[in-house]
Amino acid sequence: MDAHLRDSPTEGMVALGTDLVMCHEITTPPAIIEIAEKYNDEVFDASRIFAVIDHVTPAKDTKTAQQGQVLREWALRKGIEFADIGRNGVCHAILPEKRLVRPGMTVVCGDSHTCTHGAFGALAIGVGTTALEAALLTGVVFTRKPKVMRIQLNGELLPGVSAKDVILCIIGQIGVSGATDHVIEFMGPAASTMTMEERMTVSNMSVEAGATSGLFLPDGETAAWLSGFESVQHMIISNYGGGSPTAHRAHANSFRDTWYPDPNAQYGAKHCLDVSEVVPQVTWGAKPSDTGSVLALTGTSVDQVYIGSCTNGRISDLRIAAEIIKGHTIPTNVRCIVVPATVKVQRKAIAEGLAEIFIDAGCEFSAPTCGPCLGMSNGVLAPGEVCASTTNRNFAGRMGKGGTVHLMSPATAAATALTGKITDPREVIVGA
Amino acid sequence: MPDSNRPPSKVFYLNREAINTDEIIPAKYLDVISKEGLGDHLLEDLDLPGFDPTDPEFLAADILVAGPAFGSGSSREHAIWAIQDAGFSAVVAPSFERIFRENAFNCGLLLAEVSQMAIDGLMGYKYPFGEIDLDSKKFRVGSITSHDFEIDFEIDPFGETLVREGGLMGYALKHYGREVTRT
Repeated sequence: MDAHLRDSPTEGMVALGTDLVMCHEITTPPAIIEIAEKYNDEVFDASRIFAVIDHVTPAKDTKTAQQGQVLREWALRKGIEFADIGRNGVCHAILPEKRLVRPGMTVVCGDSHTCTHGAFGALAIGVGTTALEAALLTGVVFTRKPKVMRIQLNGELLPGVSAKDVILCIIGQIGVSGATDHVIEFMGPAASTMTMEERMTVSNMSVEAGATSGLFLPDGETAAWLSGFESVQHMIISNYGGGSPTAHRAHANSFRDTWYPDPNAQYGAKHCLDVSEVVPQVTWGAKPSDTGSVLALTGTSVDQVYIGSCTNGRISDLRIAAEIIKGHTIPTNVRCIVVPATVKVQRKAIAEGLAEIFIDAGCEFSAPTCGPCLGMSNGVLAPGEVCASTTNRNFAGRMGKGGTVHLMSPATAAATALTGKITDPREVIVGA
Repeated sequence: MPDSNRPPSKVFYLNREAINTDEIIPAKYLDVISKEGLGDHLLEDLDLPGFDPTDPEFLAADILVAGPAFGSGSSREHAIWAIQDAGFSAVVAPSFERIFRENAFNCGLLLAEVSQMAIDGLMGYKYPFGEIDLDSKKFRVGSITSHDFEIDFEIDPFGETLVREGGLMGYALKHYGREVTRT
């Protein structure tokens, strides 16, 4: 944080320089319009801004079409990289895919799940429209200097248990305000053995405990992910190894020496979890901390199953779901919607035969979008309906007024789709 | 309230914790590019027995009092726009979630943090009128003619600066405008 610190306007507040600002079509347009009207249509640095359309895509009516239009026209006239239909994805899935986030960066987006990118050891902070507007104009974001919460993850995940179950467990233990004004550092052997996609799932939901961001220590896993840049421009933006492949490799290899927790760090709070004791989770109530063992809700009927989102819409999530669904047919009274989080994931899912598995089973396999997650796009629930979902929020009415959402992992959701009732994935996974 | 040239502010009480921004303004209303008009849908889907968003008392109120962890969940600043558009000038609660808190100050909406004990008292008595004194950090509640109770509140110092300046944009540009690109 010190490298980015511009100022401390008051005791406890920091003004940080922003390395990367991401924009989507729901929260950015009012800022774009105001900047055009009042602030000369300027941006601090177009090369450090990335825009994407993801929440309602393709547009479903005039209003959502206009949201996309404002974003699209702005990106075009300012020379900002924009991922439009056919080249897009859920913002917190496509940004890491483009290798634009690197350890030590500050990343800001007008979206609460920006914390996802903490998986790369970046300080990734979700903000609202006005803060986004200020960041776009000045390259500065203001926030209360966070304390640090260390969550030590020990042990090994048992078969049928996943990163999603771990983070649900954590939120259940510390509560929806347990980490407010804290950055969580996920440490320990169970953290370092997680793949980048698993880390992103965990970091993604750290905001559901109130955290400012959720970070993993950069290591060889991080370096391996970051080695495939789309373009030299991207490599330069992320300031990775000075732009040359050789320097990049040296920089990546230095992770082990460069990134380590400060031995003198002062922690606001410390928690410890043995992940071998975590069982598949299902939320039962109207907030993410209302979570417990799947066994408590086994047999609950569902109308819809949603596998996707910035939490669990990546290729590893789809592979787990396909493995369970393969060869089966979903009951006709269940709507199973599978949404790859980006175009790349969509393409891989098709190439690996996963799409065929889903479609053969009677699931809908669609193009990338946030989809059913927030009840604004598609897959909305009717009153009284129940959805088993791999998303991150189960607030009352979120997926549709009068509807109920149970959050769970892709494995649990896939197992649930097989029967139309909440099912323990360990019953259907070989070796569990 | 004694004091004023100002008409007294009506207070409305939401006796619940962790009211989230999906409840404050549901996603189906986020399809707007303007900040106006969201007040009509404020708290429309709030899960609180006995609460009716068409209640004239709610519609006439200027100050909202709620339980802890107010504003959890989505970063939608639309929640603040809805609150302000509906005519509220302040929210009083034991605690607020970070993004909501920052959004509120960025828009010049006053958030006052009071103790849980004070909230318990307020929810019990439900004084219909109130007044926020930013200079002395006091929330005075009572009837239309008298202060019956005075509660200390806290406000983030930076937040107070922004509320006094009317929001973030003026402040940010005054201090950080025209930043040179980082190399």
